[in-house]
Amino acid sequence: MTAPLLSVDDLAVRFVTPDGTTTGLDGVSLEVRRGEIVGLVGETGCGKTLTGLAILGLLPRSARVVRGSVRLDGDELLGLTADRLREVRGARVGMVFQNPASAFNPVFTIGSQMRYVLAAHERLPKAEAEQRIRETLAEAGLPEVERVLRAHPHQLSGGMLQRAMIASALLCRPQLLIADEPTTALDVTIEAQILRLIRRLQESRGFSVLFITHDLGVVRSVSDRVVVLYAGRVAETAPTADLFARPAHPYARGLMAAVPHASGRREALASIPGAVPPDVGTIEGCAFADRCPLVVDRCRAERPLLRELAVGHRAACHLADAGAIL
Amino acid sequence: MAVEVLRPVVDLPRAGILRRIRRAIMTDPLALAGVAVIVLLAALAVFGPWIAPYPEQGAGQSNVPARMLPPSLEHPFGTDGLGRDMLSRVIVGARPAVAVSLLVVGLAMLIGVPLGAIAGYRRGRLDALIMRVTDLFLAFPPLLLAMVIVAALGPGLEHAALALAISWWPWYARLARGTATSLRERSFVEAARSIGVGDLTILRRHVIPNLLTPILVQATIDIGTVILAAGSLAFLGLGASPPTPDWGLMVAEGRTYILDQWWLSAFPGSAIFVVVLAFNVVGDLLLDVLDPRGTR
Amino acid sequence: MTAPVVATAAVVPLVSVRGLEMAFHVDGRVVRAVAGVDLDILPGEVHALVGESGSGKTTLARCILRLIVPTAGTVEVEGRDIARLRGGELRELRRSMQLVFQDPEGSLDPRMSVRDLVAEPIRTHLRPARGGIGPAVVELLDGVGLARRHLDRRPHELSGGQCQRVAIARALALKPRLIVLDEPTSALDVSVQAQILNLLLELRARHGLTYLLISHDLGVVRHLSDRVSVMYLGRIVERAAADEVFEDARHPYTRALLASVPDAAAAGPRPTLIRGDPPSPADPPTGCAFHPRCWLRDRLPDAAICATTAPPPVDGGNRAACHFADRVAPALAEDRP
Repeated sequence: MTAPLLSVDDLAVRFVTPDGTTTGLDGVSLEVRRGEIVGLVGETGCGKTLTGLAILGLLPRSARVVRGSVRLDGDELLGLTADRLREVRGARVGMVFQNPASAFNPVFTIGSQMRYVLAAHERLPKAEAEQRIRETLAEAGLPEVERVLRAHPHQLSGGMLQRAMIASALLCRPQLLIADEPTTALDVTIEAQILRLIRRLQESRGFSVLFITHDLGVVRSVSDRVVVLYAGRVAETAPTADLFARPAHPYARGLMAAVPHASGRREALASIPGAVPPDVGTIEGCAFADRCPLVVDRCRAERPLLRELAVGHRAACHLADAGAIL
Repeated sequence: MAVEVLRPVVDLPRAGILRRIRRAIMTDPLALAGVAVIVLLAALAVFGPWIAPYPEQGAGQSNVPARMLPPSLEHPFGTDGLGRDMLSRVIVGARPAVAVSLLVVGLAMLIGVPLGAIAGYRRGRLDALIMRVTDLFLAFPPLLLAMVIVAALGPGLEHAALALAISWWPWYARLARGTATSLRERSFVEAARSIGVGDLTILRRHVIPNLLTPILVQATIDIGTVILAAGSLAFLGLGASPPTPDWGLMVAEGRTYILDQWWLSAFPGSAIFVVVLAFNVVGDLLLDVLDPRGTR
Repeated sequence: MTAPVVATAAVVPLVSVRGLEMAFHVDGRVVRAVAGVDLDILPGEVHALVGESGSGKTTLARCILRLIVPTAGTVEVEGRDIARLRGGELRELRRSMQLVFQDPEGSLDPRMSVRDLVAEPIRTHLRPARGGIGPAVVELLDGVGLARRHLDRRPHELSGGQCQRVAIARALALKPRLIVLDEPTSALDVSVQAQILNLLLELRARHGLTYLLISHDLGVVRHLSDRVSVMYLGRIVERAAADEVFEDARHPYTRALLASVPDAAAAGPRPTLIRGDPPSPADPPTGCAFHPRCWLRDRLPDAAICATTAPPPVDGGNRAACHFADRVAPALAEDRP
C-alpha cells in the first residue's frame, strides 16, 4: 500500500485573542489517499474549516499551530515560508470555497482572473495557456467558454460561478482539491450537478479531494471515506457505506438520527441535548461525554483514542465495541 | 438559502464594553493620553474658575502694569496685552469651548439623526425630499452662513454655535440615513413590522438605537472639530467677542505679535490642537470598542 | 401528528389566495416574482412551499402577511380580503399571522434582552398594565424550552437554536392562527435543527397552529408538512399531500427536485434529472416555464406543445401543471432495469 497523499498528524491549533485563548483543533489526524474523496463532516465550530485552512497555511492571524504535522506527498507543509506555501497553494493544492460570488474579484473578467492564476504558477506560452484555460472550463461543464471568459462574475449564475471556480482550482493540475462547503450556497438542483461534476473530474483526472461539509447527505453522495469531527477532535472515520450502515461513535449516531429524510418520513427526530463545549482543550476525558446517552465514569476521566473497529473503521469512544453499539 | 452559515473563525465570547474600553486604553498609550486629555478638559470646564490662578483675569479683568510678560513661574503661559494671565485665560476658556461644541454637536444630532433615520427607514418620496433639503444645506458655504447669521443677529458665541449647528446637521442626517437604510434590510426590523409594531415605534425603538454607534463615534470626533471650527470663526471675528476667554479669539488677538510675543497665540493654539487630537484618538477607540458584535 | 387534512368543500380555508401576482421593476424590466397563484391554507395544516431560489415562495408568503402589497389578486384570511382591512382590523390581522425568520440572530434586535424581545409583541398589541407582562413572558419562554436565566441575555449571548426559540416565543406571544416559517432551520446545525423541528410539531399540537413552511430542505419539508405546493418561476406546478408528492410526484420538475436531494438515507449517486440554472423571472420561457430544462420533454416525441402552450394550472382537480403528467411515472419506470 502506497503512502497517503495527504497526512495530517496530531494537528493542534489554538486561538489567542485579547479575550483569552481557546482550542480550535485538539490533535486531529486524518489521511487522504491518492484518488479518493474524503468527506470531513461536523457541526459549526467543530474545526472542519479550520483543518482545511491549517493544511493550506491560511489560518487567521489569531490562530497558532501548537503541534502536529501536515504532509503532502511526503513534504511537510507546516513551517514553510509564505513564498513556498504560495507555490503549494494553487499549484499542488486547489481550493474551492463556499461562496463563489465572493471568491472572484467583481471588477475583472473570469478570463483575466484565470490567466492570472495560471501565470502565477506556470510559465506557459500564451497559446498553450489559453488552450489550457479553455479545456479546463469545458471540462468543468461550461461549454460556452468564450462567453464565460469575457464575463464578469455578476454576469454568471451561482452554479456557473462555482463551475468556473472549480476550473480555476484545477487549472494547475493539483494533486489535492480542498472543497469547503462548495454547494452550501446553491440550490439542490445545482448542488446535485456540482457534486456530480466533482466526482466526474476526480475520476477522469485522478486527483484527491478533501470535501468539507456539514451536510450528511452530501457526504454520503460524494465521498469514499468520511472523517467525523467533534469539538476539534476526530470522533470517527470509516468508509462511507460502512459509516452510514454502522456508525460507532454516539455523536455520529446522534447526527444521523437527527437528520430528516426526504426519502421517507421518520417518526421522530432524535436531537442531541446540550451544546459543544466552549474549550475542548480543558477537557480531560471525551469531549462528547456531557451530551452522550451512554456516558460512563471512564469517559470523563480518560480521553478515548481512535481505535480500529473494522478494516478502516475507527472511532474514538471507549464504548465503541460491537456489543456496546447495538 | 443558507449562505455563510459556517464562519471560518471560531467566535470567542466577547468581554463587556467597559472591560474592552479599559483593555484598549491600557494597551494603547495614545488612547490613554486621549482619554486623560478629555477628562482634564471636562474638569477644567467645570472647575476652571476655581482652578485658575487669576480667575478674574481669566474672565477678562485687565492688569495693565503686567502686560506682555513672557512665561515665568508666576505666569507659566505669560500675560497678554492687557496684562491678563494667559494660563488662567486658557483654563477659563475650556468652558466656552466645551459648551459650544456640545451645543453644536447636540443640536446637529437632534436635527440630523431623526431626519436621516426617517429618510433611510421610509425611503421613497419622503427620503428624496429630506435628502434634497439636506443637500441644500450642505451646498451652502458654512462661512457665508456664519457671516449672514452674525450680520443678522450680531456677533457672539451662541450665534456662532447656531451657524455651526445649521451647517453641521446634514452630515448626521447622511450618516444616519446610510445606517438606517441597511438596518431596514435587517430581519429584526422586518420582524418588528410583521408583529405589527408601528413605524414610529420601530424608528424609536429599533432603528435609532441601533444607528447610534457610528453617530456617537462621529460625534466624539466632531466635538474636537467643532472646537477648531468655533476657533476659526472667532479668529475671523465671526464668533466670540472680547473679553470672552475663547481660544480661537486668543489666537487671533495674539496674531499681530506672533514673532515677538509668541506665547499669546501658542498656548491657546496648543490647547485647541491637543483637544482636537484627543477627541480624534478617542473617537477611533470607540469605533473599535462600541461595535456590539465586534465584527469590524 | 394528525392525518393530512383533505381539501373538501366542508373545510373553510384559513387563508385563501386567488390570482396573486407580484411584479417588481428591476432595471427597467418587469419581473413577475409571483405570476398568478391560487392557494388555500387549511386550518391546522402544515403547508409547505418548495422550489429553487427565485421561485417566488418568499414573495408569496410576504404578500400573504401583507408585508408587501401584491400587484394583482386577492388574499382572504377567514373570508376577509386583507387589502380592505384598516386600523383595528389590520392590527388584528397582523396579530393572527406571525413570521419566523431564517436567520435567528438577525431577526432579534441586538440591543434588546430576551425579556424585552418576548414582551414586545404583547406590549404592541395587548397594552397590558405595567408589570403584568412578566409571568406571561416566563410562561412563553418555558413553552419553547428556555428558562428564567435566559431572560436578561442578549441575542449574541445565545446560541442559534436559542435565538430561534426566542423568535418562536415572540411569534406565539400573540396567540396567532398562522405562523409563516421562512427557512426556520437552515442556519442551524442538524442536531439543533432536530430540536427546533420537534418543538414546532409539539407547539402545533398544543396550540392548534397552522404553519406555512418555506424551505429548500426537502427532508425538513417531508418531516413537517401535511401538504406541499411546488413552485417554479412564480407559479405553483404541483400540489398534493406530502406523501403523494414525495412518493409519487406527477410533475417532472418535482421529480427532478427530489432526485437532486443528497439524501443521508440513500447510498450512492442517483441520475440527475435536471440541468442548468432556472431561467430568469425577467425573461421567462414561453409555454410551460420548465420546458427548457425538462427531462420528460426530451423523451417524448410529441412534446411541441410544451414550448407553445402553458399547461393547465393546478387546482382542485389538477395536481400537476404539466401537459404530460400521466407520463412521468412510466418514463422513469423505463429507466429501471
